[in-house]
Amino acid sequence: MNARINSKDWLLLSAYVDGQLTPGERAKLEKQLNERQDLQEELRSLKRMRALLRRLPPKPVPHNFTLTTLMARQAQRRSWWLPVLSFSSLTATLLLVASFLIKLPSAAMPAMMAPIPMAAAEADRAYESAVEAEQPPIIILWGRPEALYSFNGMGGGDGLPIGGAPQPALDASREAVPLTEPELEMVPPPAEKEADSPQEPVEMIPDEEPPPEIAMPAATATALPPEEPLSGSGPILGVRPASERGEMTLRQPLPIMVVEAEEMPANRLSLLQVALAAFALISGLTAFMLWKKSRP
Amino acid sequence: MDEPTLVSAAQQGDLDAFNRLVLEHQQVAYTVAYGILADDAASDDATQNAFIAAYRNIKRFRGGSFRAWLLRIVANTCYDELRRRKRRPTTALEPLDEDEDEIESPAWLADGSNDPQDVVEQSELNRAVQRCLQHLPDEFRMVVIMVDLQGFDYQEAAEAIGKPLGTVKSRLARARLRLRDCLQKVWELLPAEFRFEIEEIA
Repeated sequence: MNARINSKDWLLLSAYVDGQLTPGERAKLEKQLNERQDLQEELRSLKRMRALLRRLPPKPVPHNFTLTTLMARQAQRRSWWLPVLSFSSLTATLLLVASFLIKLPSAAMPAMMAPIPMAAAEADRAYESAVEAEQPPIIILWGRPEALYSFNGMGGGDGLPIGGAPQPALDASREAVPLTEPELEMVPPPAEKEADSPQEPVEMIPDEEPPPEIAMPAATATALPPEEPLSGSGPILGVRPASERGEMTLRQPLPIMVVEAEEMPANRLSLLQVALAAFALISGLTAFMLWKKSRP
Repeated sequence: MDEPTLVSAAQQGDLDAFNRLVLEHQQVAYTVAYGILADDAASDDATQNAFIAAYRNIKRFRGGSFRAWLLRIVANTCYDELRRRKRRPTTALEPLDEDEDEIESPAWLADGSNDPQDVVEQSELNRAVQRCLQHLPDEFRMVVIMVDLQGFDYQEAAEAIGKPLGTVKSRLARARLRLRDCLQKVWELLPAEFRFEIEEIA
């Protein structure tokens, strides 16, 4: 383009050859054309190129593009995917939002939990009823949750009879124990003191940290003494012998199992939400691509 | 039957009526597709797919220029193909020069000793124009194909690309400027008689 021709002049010339200028613009441009040689040359080259392009014959079609009956049927059938996918995506999105709002999996948590917490709840109820009656307690040692998972031969008798021990201590022990390492647990009173007051509740987990020098060989922790006869009229499923009280026992990874039992519903909730989100995203994107592809 | 009647019948599901519309507009649809894609097979596929899409969506046509509505579908189909090519680039069979253009060297462009009278053929002129068109941005190319090659008016071109009239005017002017510069060498190598003929038309 000539240095004196700016883009505005070229825009006017382009519209001028197509007759797209208003009468005022056209008169003004024609006046300039009479005065400026460069504008005339640009107009001539523009008209020449336009004529050259319009003189080109069209490229002949390779064949007719008419639709067959089969093509028409396929074209109509394909359009059903769009509403189906759109509806699916919308439904999944609403379900996802609802799962966040009403916390449905949390409400259903007890039904989804493993039998371990259920057994603990049963033991708690037995303990409460025994305390209210103020009678020689009916010792029902279902076994603490860890009993079901212990794998060193401790079974359910690890020295923590739920029916006779204060429940807060049990709860404190669950929360205070680290998650990964087995814990050495010490019962402070000596054996002879325990013999003097056998009905006295045993403090299972002291608040302070146990002295590190106290350690028990594994054989002591795992060996089970013979059971002693018990008095009472109710069912006795298990009790810890008095000689064993006050001893330090090795606890196996109870906290891990408890934590797993509590986190399981949350994991399921997350899985459900992730699955819903993925489904909503995939179906929505597919519907959008179909819509974009089929748009006129 | 006139076009509105055919369109109305096609909207009722009359495939024969739609096919008559196809026969009426397939030349311009294919030309626009070839102008954008510059590839025989791809233009063929794009044109066919565009007619299938038009049949699927013909009930959404609300009047106006049927040709502009159809060409909008053709253009969108071609742009989808261009995007697919960018995602999955193919290797050209012909060698490329520094600007990554295919080296094809038509004799009447490369060797001045040949007699232009013998080598100027319509197909080669078409190829030269196609090469220049391919150097334009997609949105410019579409407008110049419709207006300068197919003879659309600005309003119909605006409907086809879904943009305002001022956008058509601006894009066309800029496309013409680039195309004029690109075709300058071609023009100078054309035979005098041919140039004179063009000047007469212009």
